[in-house]
Amino acid sequence: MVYEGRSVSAARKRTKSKKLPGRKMAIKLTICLCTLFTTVVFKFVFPEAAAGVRESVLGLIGGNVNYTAAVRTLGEAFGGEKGFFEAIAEAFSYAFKIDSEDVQVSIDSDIDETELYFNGPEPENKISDEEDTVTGTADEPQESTYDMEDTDTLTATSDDTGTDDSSTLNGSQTAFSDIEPPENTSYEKLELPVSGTAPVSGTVTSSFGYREHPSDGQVRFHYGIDIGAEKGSSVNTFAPGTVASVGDSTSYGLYVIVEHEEGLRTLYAHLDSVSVREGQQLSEGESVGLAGETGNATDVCLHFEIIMDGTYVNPEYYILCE
Amino acid sequence: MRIRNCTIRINPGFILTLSCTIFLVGFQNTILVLVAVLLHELGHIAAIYAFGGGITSITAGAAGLEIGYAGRFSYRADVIAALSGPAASLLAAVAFSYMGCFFKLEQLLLFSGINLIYCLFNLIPAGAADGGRAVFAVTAALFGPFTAEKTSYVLDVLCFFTVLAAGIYVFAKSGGNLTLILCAILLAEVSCKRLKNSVKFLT
Repeated sequence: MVYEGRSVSAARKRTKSKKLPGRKMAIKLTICLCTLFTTVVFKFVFPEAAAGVRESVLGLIGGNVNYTAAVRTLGEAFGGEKGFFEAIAEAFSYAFKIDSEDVQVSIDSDIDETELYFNGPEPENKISDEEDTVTGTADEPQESTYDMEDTDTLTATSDDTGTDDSSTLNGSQTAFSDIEPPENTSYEKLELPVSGTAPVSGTVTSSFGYREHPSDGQVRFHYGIDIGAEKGSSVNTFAPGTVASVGDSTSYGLYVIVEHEEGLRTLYAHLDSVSVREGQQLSEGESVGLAGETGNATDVCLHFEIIMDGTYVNPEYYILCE
Repeated sequence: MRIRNCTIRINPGFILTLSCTIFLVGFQNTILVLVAVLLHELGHIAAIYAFGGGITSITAGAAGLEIGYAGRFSYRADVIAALSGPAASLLAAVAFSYMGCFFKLEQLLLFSGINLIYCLFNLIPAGAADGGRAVFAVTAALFGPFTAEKTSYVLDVLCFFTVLAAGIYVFAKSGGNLTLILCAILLAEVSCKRLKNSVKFLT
């Protein structure tokens, strides 16, 4: 059917737009422009205060929902190896924070305590790839020798501390030494642009590398280290930087990502509470929150990751072990 | 403002939404949102020109841009013109998702996510949203304009109350998450006048 002249849609749109009298419209426009101007000035002149108000407003709207992680997860719906519907389900779990068992099961089974290379949990591709690789050798006898007894105590750090043997695997990792590490991980000690401090005092209860997951026994890659700590003890930033992301996920619990200079990022997960907000500048050793066991943690610990130019490295190389 | 035969209007609602967006998501992400909206509208404009139509107005409102167009349009062309915006957003979402995952760039993934959300929101079959316009044209082609108008009213009310109910459910289950309730308000804003007519029509 063909319509002469304007289309139905155009006609419908036309009826929608109501013309306000010029004066009334001018007043409305002026008020809105003033609001826009005030917003921009407030954000530029008082960034800290603006960030505080923003957090409060977002908290009011979403109860501290991680919208960035939700949108980013949606962004992986096509290109990531995460399936479309799974990405949607995960984004929903971020945006609406409903404890849906289905969503949780799907996320928990696919996302281990792995990496967050931007603002949210990593796409599961590496995990599933590695799981596939590992499954074939999961029944090998040497895997049963894997244990967590290498509980080195962490105190303080500097760039030249830690092990110097950068190609040597940790004790627990040797059991899986014949398995290629996932892409974007390195067992080698890469040069970091800054020296750092141990984020918390405690013992390493789970090392970097392949391990049997404490909750389901499956062999998966652990992209960071777990440091056992007292509940409520302060978790401090490894080096000076800016808070890139604060979030909450079913596997990581409350987490903070700090961006340091020259492509260095660190992640602090399973926190009991977070005391920083996105965009906040931090000096070395400044507290980001308190240690806890939120997310998929079996005990009170800090899950700590170091990512250098997108490559996950063993944090134990950079923090002093007693 | 008028450029050739096209009237360009900026409503106060647009400036207010812009202020809120800048404040809540920052300048960088606001630019991503604006580019996503532009891409979406370019999809519409391309389809309108492809069918020999012309753009008569561009109105920046609280929920994005509205394109007014004129020309000889069949219902089929109306459906295609309505869906070309979401199609453009979907294409952008797919392309930038692959690029974001390949280059591991967060901004590309965010942009892809924004496009996908904008695409899905516009496909809601209510009010002046693209989905509503497409449903109207399809129903009009199949059952005539009167039935299409009635269907449209029912869908307006149904969509509004469905999103609102979902919002209340999420609010209660999550302990205070207002996201979907705000979506319902935005939906009501998009089709405010139509919603009033719909309620009047149904009661």
